[in-house]
Amino acid sequence: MKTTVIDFHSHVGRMGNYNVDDDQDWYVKTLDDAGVDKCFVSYIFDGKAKNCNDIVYEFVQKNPKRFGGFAHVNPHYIDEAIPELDRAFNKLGMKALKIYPPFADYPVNHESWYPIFEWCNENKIPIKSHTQYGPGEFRHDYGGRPILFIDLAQKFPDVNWILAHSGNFELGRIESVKAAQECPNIYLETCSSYGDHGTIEYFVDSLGDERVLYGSDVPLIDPRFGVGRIVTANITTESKRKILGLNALKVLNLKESEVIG
Amino acid sequence: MGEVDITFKSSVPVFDCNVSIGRVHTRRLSVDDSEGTLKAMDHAGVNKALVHNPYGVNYDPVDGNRRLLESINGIERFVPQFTCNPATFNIETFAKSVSDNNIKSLRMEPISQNYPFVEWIVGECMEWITESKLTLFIPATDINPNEFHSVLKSFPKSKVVLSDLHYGHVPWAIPLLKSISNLYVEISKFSIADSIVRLRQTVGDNRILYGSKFPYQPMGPQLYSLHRWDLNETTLADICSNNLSTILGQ
Repeated sequence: MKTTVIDFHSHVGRMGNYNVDDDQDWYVKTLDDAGVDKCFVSYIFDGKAKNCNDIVYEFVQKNPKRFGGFAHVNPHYIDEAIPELDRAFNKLGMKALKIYPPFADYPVNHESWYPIFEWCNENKIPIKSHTQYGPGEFRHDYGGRPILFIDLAQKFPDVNWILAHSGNFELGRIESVKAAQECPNIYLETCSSYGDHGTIEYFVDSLGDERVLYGSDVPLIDPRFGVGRIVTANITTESKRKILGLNALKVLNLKESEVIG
Repeated sequence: MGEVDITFKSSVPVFDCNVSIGRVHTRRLSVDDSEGTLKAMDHAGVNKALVHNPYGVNYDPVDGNRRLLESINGIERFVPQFTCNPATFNIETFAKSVSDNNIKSLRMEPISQNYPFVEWIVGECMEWITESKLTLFIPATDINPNEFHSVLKSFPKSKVVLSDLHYGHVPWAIPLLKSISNLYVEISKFSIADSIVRLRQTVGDNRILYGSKFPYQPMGPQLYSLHRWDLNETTLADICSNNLSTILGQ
């Protein structure tokens, strides 16, 4: 079946420690094989946000039909972050902001983030944040604990908050669902290498199918696997279509023709 | 527009080699019994499953293995796998139990069960496993790669499956698989980019086994993924079921 498929969670940049690369020809072939129309990529590994966003921009420019960009900024350089947000969204054409709280060494509700969130709120920019909360070493606030987003979503109501990985572990998933139930501007994104049996069904049963977004984590995780998590879930065909791409069109304010060309 | 198979069903028979049946007390699992597992198998199109009981790993292999047999109660779609702890068991008693119950594969989780996988602890057991033509499954999360490599080098005729391989294991696991020709790989958690291409290049088609790690993961995604790699039907059938049947002697 043909349906719009938008990957809400992908990366550019080499990750040599895992022997993965971001060669664009490989990337396009992989998306084709998995049936993915368009992939939104970010680069979060450089402490200088300008470098991150330039890398994303250059990558996207080579094939804007198949790729879109998400910006990144560093809260430790807030003086650079605000002008960089302006450049990223108003000159480079980024579609959302990706933040990664584990790099920051303070929780996502720490006030150091607030100028960034205020800017996004004023400009109605979606923010996708890494989230995790789980057993043992993962049971703390610093990884992007999902429950903390309730307060943020209420303080910054014009931001659509996308919880990448939906908390990653069972405890995190429960908190993610609770946060999304409480706040209509919170969305759950599906990429994870820890998803239990029944995870997608749990999201749809608890929240409905309008605020769940497909993501893969390419190139760390192959999109065939990520698409498979949606396609093989015990939910309706219409729900699958929404999660795979139709919901992303709404969140990013895109027309289907802009994605499938 | 993306071409995805929303009503996917496997085109080949499927024998899942990594399924757990039974409760744990650290959390409530979405499925913890035979009935629920069979329902999930039906939904995913899985014909048979190699199953173990988590109690056997977490507390006591003898009781865990007994619970396993009770829970599957002769259902033919389940093939029982016994858990073994070579650091503490009586090998004669255990061997008799394996033989009496026609068990073809064993599971060790050395780190979880608090012993090193070294020859002076597992040597006698490895010898028996090899002579008995049993297949041993060990999760990648439960070994020290160096110890594991050393023992397997000493037992070149053993049949061992490295399960639960994750992208974080790539730096040592790919060289390990290259180095040990009698080591098979189970792919439930191996979803890194180009996962199947990497494994085919490393070990060929006959040492790759489909597994899901159910209920900690759904059965469907890796199965769906396998159908999207342009594998011919023979290779697909080998990975999805035949390789496992062959090493279990079924």
